[in-house]
Amino acid sequence: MRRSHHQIAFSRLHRRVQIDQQPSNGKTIRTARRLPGITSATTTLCFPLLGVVLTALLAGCASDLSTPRVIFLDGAGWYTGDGPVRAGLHKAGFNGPIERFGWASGLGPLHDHLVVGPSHPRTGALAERITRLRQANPNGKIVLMGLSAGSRVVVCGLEKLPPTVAVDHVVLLSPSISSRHDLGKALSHVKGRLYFTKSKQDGILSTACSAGMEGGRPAGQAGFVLPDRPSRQTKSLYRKVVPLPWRPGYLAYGWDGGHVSATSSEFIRVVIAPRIIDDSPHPLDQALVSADAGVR
Amino acid sequence: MLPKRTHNWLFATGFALLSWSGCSTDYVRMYEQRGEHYKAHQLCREALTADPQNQAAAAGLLRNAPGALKYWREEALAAATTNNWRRAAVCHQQVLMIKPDEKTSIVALRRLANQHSDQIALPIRPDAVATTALVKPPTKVALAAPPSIKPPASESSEVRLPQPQSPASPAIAAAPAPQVPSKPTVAATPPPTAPAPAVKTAAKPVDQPRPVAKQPTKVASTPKSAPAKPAEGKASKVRSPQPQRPASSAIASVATPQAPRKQTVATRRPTTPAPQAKTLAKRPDKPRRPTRVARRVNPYRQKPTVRREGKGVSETDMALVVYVSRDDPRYAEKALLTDGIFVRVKDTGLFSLNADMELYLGNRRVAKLSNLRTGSVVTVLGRSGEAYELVLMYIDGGPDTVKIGLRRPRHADSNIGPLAAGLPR
Repeated sequence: MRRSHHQIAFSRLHRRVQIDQQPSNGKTIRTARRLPGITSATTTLCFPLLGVVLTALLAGCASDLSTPRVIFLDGAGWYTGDGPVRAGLHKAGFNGPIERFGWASGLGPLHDHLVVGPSHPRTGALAERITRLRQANPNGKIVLMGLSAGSRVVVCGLEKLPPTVAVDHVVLLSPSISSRHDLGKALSHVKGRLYFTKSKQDGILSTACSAGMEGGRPAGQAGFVLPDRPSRQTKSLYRKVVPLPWRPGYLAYGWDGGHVSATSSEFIRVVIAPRIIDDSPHPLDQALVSADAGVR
Repeated sequence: MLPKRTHNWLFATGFALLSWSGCSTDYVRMYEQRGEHYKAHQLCREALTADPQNQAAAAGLLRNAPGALKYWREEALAAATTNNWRRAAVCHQQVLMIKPDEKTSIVALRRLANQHSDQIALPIRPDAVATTALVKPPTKVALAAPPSIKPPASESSEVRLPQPQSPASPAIAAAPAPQVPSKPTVAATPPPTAPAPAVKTAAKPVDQPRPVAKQPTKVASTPKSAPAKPAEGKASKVRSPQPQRPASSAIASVATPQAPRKQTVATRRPTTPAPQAKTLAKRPDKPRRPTRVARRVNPYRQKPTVRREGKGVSETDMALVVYVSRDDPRYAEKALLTDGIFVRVKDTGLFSLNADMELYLGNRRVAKLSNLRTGSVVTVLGRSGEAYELVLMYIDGGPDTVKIGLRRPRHADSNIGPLAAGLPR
């Protein structure tokens, strides 16, 4: 067997390093020199430790599973909106980690917007991630936030969760998921409420079709609607859905009704963060389905 | 150099364009100059709701937000001081419309909903109230439908708790119990069999205004607690003294020792003929003073009534006194009194001393009043449907000047919005 590159003889490392080189003329030159400062004790401790750490990192065992935690999913394309969201939540006093869950393919916003759906591979990964977090922290707060087409990934990820796993709150910012999407299955995995922003001034959603071409107008423009002939259970599930329609007062906090400005850090700090930090309902919130099961 | 005639046309066109495009802005400016930022803020909000791209309205909204916030905070405090819970809820809601993360208002609204669930139910629909109507409290704050399913009588301990309206409501119910019972609940103190007429008195709903004559009974049955500090400023000045009641914990008290909300065993055993239990059980069905809903009519189709008061009227009875004059340049010819009511003097008669006036609601004239003499009382509805009385106190036939006092009818709440200013000529 011909040695073509560096090879370290671990048994004699403290004494020498054997280097075989094969120059262009075909002859092998063998050199040996002493290592100056490495003692045998250090070597025996450090290298196994390094190996363990590297192995752990590669296997993903070192990933953070602490809660409370916000998992943020960007919209389609190359846009990343987690910076303002992160800043807004931290300013509001959210002290947990804010994790960005990437799902974009890198092929552009149009591609991502059109292909996102239940068969998207990242929906399964999101479900696995939530499951692992929940197993590590059965009572910890887990909040999902999705922007635009990321809302479809959020909803599909929730639908793939095991029956016993649930998140605390879900926030959909300018969701492009179809307003006619049946949220029943996803809502069964939400303990608290599902908030979604809604604005008729959203120029992108007013021209785009719903994410994944599901049919119907995007929910960020038209709002979610109950499925046809909803059962009592469906109605009770839809009581968790709370719309956050655009109001002129939100101008002061950076959301002018536009598509991306819903991720403004001030809007997140003032409007979104109090709702996910405090589990009690905001006095101004009104659920999509009222208590007497009427639909607004 | 353009000829003068062209200049005139240009000026006229520019003026027309400005008036067409910026009418609301003029009103915003006017309210700003008066210091009525909450009105200006509301105008901007309405303009932005109609046209979100209105940059002038957006700028006005941002400019007036601090002033409006301050106003609604003070109003909420003043309303809570006078135990006007509905008004307090509306004011807190307005605060949240301006500053959605105002923790004081969030907590206060939750507590108000807990303590006065018969009047206030969460969530309050944000669109229910417009500022124009907010000059007076709207007739119905709680637009959310009351829960249709009532717990059975056997679960008596939960009878008075707010019912869940949404998945959010369990959280409301699970919120800390009201710290100070808003109604004197002496039901738990005496033994159930004790016939206690004073208990009946104390068990009356106290959130409706009541004559002061009944006050000693109520005070005697209620431990004296420190009343909330009245609001400083104009809002608290115009209110007449209300019966003293325990101050609402919705505003101030955070560290008050928590007392469980009134529970009674009476509803657990409906057949028990205990008088106290009977009183409490009948309480929801007790006939109350007709609410304002019954009196509400379209104020734009009203016919103001005129009567004479024989006795002399005093300025001290008035919430507001204004001078309106047709010829005297010191006074306005048309003055805004309150709640959208404008009054304008048309003419006065010198020898049979009387005055002709016009009443406006906003820009719309609702009445022409002729030959009013001193002491005439005109009952008129404001834009919110509330009734007011205008008293003609003095007529000066020379410069056609009249002095008008504004007050509330005796049967109404003595709560006049602090709005009064004359329009500059």
